Amino acid sequence: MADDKSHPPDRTSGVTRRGLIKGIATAVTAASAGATALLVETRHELEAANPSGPMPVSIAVNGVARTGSFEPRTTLAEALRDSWGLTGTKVGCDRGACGACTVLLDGLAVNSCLMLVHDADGRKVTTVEGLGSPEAMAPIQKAFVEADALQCGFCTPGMVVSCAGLLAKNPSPSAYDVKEAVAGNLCRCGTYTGVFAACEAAAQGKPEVTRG
Amino acid sequence: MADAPKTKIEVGLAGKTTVMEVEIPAGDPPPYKVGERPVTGKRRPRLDGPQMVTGRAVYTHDARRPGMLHARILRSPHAHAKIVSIDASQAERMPGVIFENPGKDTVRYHGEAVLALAAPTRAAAEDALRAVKVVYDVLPHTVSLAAARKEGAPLVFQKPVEEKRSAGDVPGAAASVEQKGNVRGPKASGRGDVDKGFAEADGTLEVVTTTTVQTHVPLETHALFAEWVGETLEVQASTQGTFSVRDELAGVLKLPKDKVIVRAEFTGGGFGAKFGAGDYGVFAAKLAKKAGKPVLMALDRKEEHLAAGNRPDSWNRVKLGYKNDGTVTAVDYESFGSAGVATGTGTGGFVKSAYGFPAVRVAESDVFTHLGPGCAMRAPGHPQGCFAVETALETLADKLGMDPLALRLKNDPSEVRRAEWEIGAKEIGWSRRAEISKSNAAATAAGSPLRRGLGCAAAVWYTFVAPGSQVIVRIHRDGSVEAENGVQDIGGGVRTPIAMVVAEELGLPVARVNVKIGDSRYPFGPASGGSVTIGSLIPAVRAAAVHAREKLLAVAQKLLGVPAGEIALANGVFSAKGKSADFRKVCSRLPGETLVATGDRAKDYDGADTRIFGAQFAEVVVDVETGVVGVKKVVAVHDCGQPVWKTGVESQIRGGILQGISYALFEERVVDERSGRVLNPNVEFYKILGSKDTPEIVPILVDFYPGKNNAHARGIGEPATVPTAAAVANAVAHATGIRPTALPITPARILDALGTVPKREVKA
Repeated sequence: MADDKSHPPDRTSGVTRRGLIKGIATAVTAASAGATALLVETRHELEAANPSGPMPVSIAVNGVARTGSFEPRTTLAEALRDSWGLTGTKVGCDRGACGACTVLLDGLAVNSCLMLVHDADGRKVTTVEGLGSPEAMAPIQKAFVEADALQCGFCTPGMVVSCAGLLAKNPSPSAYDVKEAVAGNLCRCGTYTGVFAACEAAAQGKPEVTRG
Repeated sequence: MADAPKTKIEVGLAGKTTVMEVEIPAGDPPPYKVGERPVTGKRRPRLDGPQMVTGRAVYTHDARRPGMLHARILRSPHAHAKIVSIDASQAERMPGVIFENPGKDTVRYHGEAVLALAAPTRAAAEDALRAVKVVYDVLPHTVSLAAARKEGAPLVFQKPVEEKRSAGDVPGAAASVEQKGNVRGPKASGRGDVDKGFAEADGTLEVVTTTTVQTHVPLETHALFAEWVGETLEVQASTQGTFSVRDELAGVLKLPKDKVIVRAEFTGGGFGAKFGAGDYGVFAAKLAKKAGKPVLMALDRKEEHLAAGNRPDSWNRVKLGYKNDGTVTAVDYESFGSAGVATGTGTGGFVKSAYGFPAVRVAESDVFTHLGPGCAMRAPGHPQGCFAVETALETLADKLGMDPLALRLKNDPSEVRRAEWEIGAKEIGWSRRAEISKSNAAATAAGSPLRRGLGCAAAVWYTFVAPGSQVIVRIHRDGSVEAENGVQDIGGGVRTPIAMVVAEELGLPVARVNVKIGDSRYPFGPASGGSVTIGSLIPAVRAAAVHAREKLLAVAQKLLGVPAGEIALANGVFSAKGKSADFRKVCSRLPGETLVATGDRAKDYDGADTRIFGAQFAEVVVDVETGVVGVKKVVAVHDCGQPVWKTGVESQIRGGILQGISYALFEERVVDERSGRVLNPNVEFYKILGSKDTPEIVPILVDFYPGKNNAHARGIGEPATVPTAAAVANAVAHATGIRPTALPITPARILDALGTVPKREVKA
């Protein structure tokens, strides 16, 4: 898989959580039983490999410069939620399988639970809060409400961000493009048909969708 | 005592209603008349949607306080073991770490809690967990339904176990039943003369179906935030029951109920797994007390799979006695299921309730295994029972050469469901069935891989009511309006229908009603399980709103000088005889600062059927070379009384269907029999339905007046998921000629049944 801007190499140690997990994923394909144990070990080892303690980070989050000092093992999701109060980004699995933590990194949708906060240093992050507010929703957010593309709402921030990321690079996506864009976002309540309708309506510039 | 006065009300399907005499409880408004509702029953966006789509909705996972600690639980890696020793000395030296050790001596499943701890960050708490050393003496385990039933299997419990019930279970007596080995049961039930039914039959047939464990997978894992304010425990919980969490915490911690406050502003899904405080919640409360600091306990995804509940697996045997015209004369039904270390696996509800079978005998048994506890999950027992019974009916249709829908109509006396079958058959194009069979035969002849199929199945659920539900409507002098109830929103969007009902009675825009929920200090509301929420709450909301309107009319009467009975209230204006006053003006003349009106959930009227029906149809395409099943379309025809918020009802139906497809095709917890460990406690290897598996869904609601309460209100959460898996399985059978008898219908099972893969030797 060709790497892209969304998954940059770690600038300090050459080790990324994602890289390690990718390696593990290959190693455990045949023996899935060990995956969880290995992952925990990895976080531990990662910490041991980076004994330097907290290090400074500066990230433009939703257009605001955010700084902080973080242990090397801190994920972007943890920094957003625990240090900067941006709890709109959710953590559903903490291993890149559910998509609830999706944010835009320099405009591309990424899983913030799979990215170390140090890997986002100097880059631009947009969270669901940065797309719009209840009083001034982005078109995709408005379309989600109109299409009732949400139930419990816990996967919704990730869904919204994935759709926003899609529309930013592909203003007129096909139905398949939408399904592909949210293929990494799990919803247990079953809101997918609403998400498809919302994304289509937002692409056509008419968030006032009514589902028949 | 003189007979109470009776009121005539219209009940039944719109266009075919009949008049029924009911006794309307004192103080309760009369029920909606046919076609009477200007606001409710319509589609509209959910009121709290803007908070949710912008990340402003605050869930329990999002609780943050200065100085807060994060709690984690140390869990057993073994299926069954004695705890020999725990050495926490290294972890105790870590800064800010506190422990809560319940002192267990035995663990009975992979993932069972051993102890809990809290630390200043989640990462620090995990460091501390790794530093605790536990020595286990591993004991023999049994982790499969079949193995656990055998004589000599390692015992999960040495003594008989009583059934624990939660707010999400099907109500009914938790009968004390026999327990032998790991088998608790059978619990017998039924109706009619089964022996006579079999004696009168032209023939009998028997099928056995199996289903695997399904885990709930709410996107927000179980979580509880605890904070002590003086002697009061203040909690934020990701829950389906603010009051059931309060009651459990009060009970376990021996606190009076007024010293426990539970809030649940938003809950990230539940599906039956989130009723109580749980051991994790009790740990959080105790750790918070010890630390003198707030504590957030949020399970991780692995814990969620291992220890936070699941839909038990099942083995079901259905024996039908039938007449050659397709009429079923008797059913003998037996089920075994394992909820791990818990009880409550019966699947016999569907066979007793769904159709008009004259005689049914049910025997249900729980089988204990060394696995995490099962619990209520959306329509407990019913998707399993529906799959078993509908498979038997289809097998009978095959045997008699009958159309499967015609066979169902032979056995279905419900007027509502018969209407649903008809509407659904038309929408899915059931008449294409023979033609599709021909195309499939042609595809086989041509060596082309794709086969198409249509299937259907019935839903049944029941009208349960949480007694004591109460709603307060407050109207302030400035004209602002609040509606209060402690109920939680787990995704059904309950704020919106509450606001719609109040708005309708007060002649106001829906957005003017400020709905305040999710707090145990508000009046009692139902736990959201068993589709009870709307049916319990809406009649109380309406009663409160009607009482508020009556009080406002008394104020308007003084202001306008016109008798209250002649004043109309609509579009924010009180008007009569050419005089008018707007809503705010009338409110400014309230005798006190706030008008308070209360509505109680009156008891149901006697007489009408309490069952909720439904019929679903599925169209599938099966690739017989790869074994992959794709669901193309599902038509779901349901009755939901008079829906209050139609958008929400349709969303619930869509969700029930997608969970049903997921159950039919994908979900399978895998347990290694040798180690007793669950191999896929995550969402990578435990597959649930995703965007690309989502078909076109057509929800259709029949216009039905059940006549049980003042709003004809009923729930939809459970019935929507009952028939989907069976309908998909039946469609697969039509497409392939192979009758699935085990869920999930994986490619491996399809190919195996088609005989296109070489048989493997499977070691026992």
